Amino acid sequence: MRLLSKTSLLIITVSIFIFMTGNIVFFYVLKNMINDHVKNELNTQMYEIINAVNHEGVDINSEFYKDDVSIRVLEKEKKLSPVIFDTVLYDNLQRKYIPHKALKFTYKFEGQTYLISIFKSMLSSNKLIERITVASIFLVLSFLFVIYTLNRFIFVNVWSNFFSNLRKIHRYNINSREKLMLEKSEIDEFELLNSVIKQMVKKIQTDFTTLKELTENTSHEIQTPLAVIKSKAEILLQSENISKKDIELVYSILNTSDRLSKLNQTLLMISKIENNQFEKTKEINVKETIDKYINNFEMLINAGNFKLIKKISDLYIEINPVLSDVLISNLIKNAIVHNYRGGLIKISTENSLLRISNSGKGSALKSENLFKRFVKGSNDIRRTGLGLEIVKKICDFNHFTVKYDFSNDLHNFIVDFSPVKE
Amino acid sequence: MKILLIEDERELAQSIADYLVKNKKFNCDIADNYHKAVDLCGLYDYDCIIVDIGLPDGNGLDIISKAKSDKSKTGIIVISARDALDDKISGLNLGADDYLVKPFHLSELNARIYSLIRRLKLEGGNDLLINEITLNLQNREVKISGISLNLTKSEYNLLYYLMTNKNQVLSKSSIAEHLVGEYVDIMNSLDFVYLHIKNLRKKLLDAGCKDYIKTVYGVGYKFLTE
Repeated sequence: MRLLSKTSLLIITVSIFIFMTGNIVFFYVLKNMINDHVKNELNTQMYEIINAVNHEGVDINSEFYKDDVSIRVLEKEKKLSPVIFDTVLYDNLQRKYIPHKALKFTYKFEGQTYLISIFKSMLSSNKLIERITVASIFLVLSFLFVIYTLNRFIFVNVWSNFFSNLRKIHRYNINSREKLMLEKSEIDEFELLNSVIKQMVKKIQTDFTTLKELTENTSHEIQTPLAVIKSKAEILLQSENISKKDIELVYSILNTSDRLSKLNQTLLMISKIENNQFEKTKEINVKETIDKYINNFEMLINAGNFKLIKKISDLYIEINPVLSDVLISNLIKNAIVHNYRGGLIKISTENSLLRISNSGKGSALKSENLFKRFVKGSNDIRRTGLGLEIVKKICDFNHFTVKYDFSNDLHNFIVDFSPVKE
Repeated sequence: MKILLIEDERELAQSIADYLVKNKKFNCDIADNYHKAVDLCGLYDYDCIIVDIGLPDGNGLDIISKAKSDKSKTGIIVISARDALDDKISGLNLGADDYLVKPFHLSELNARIYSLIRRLKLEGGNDLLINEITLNLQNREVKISGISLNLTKSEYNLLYYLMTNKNQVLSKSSIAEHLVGEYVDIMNSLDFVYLHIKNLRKKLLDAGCKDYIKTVYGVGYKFLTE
């Protein structure tokens, strides 16, 4: 939900709640006040009537009492204290029942007991309440509208810098050497946010450079001692008075250092991909790359007596040339290495898909672990377990997808070069 | 033949020099820094310069341009621990003839130096001769006692590698790497090298050649001429 919608919604919900309760309370307070007022009036009228009776005597048909006072003579003597109650009376003029408040009391005068009732129509006060309520609801609605517009207005004015900076940060590529330029804001908090973000970006960029340097230095520093070990072992191998047993030990040292240096190179490759150090792309024909590596591996394919089925057509992709080489060669190598003698290797393209299939020992592999570091298909110590991770990394980096499935006794690796939409 | 080795890692420089001097009648000078290298370049005419790019007091790439501007007949091989493509391209653009990434096999370096010097100097003609075997480097032709022998591209490469490193133990991994390049690490190099050696040996024997290829058990092979 967007910030503006969220705040508007909150403000409106809270206001509606407050005004609703306010209105209800207001309604009852008003009603009580009117009731009290009517009761007071009834009481005043009662004393006026008593006063009039005392001075002028009882005249049941007197004009003075009008419609809203009725006086009846009671047959029996009875004492009734004044009581106020609600009632409805039929109005001949309006032809409907109208709510009234009534005061009933008995009065003894000249040996006669009179029952006197005073009626007060509630119609006008009810109407008053009704109108006040309607007016207040209208007031609330216009108030809400004003708040909503005000909120929008404040938003546009106060947050505009924030939003334009947000867009800038969103579009900013942290790997570019460009400086992040943010709009100045007169609001302290936003200024603080800007400076914090700028500092973080700067820190990330310096870290990135440091890491890149470290990567290169590590490569250099590790490869050189390895080269020394290797060269010494090789010289030892040539020594004339070395025993057969020792020569095997030396060979083992030589082989292990070989493996170590390959491992080092591969890990460096992965960290380089992760650090986006392969940004320069150009158009590559996958077909040409495949042909190049099939040619390179021809001897191995012949040595393994593999049957190679190739159905490839031109397929152009945007990629860093080093990465396309590594991607394709790794997949082809994979198909050769995990195969058995006289097995099948199938390479085909279809639209944006590249499918490399091979026969192999065993059944389907667990695909969730397949592309993870150091997950090996076999115990062969000569393999690094990093080949497929590099494939995955390259695909992720270029927004390609790579999938594995097992069908017709073939292990299939499928790369979809159509960029994944984010 | 004079070789200048520019390498700041003394131990590695010593190994390379030992291997080269022992194997061939090479004369090898070692420079462990940029200035010494520049001085030596000015003093002597080297047939081949092996240069490490990362030197403590200068960039090896500068030496390449210097050496190439003075003497056009000096072969230059760059050795670097940096597998960076940019270094490789700029090195070759400056006039380096070859590029090897550390750590490499000494036998591989030896083969590269050999073919480089052959190419640049044409010393001893175009042929590599060992007893009855003649390798014509120009048209990649093999003759046994004057009769030509038909070899595949990889068999020729293998024979060339063995002959340039004659009387040296060549490990299977170094042979495999020479034949298929840097991707050999994950290949089943044992079978692979064995098959190639077997084919080559058979062809050579059939052509009436002596059996020079000796198996060094568990390690690799040796082209024995002594």
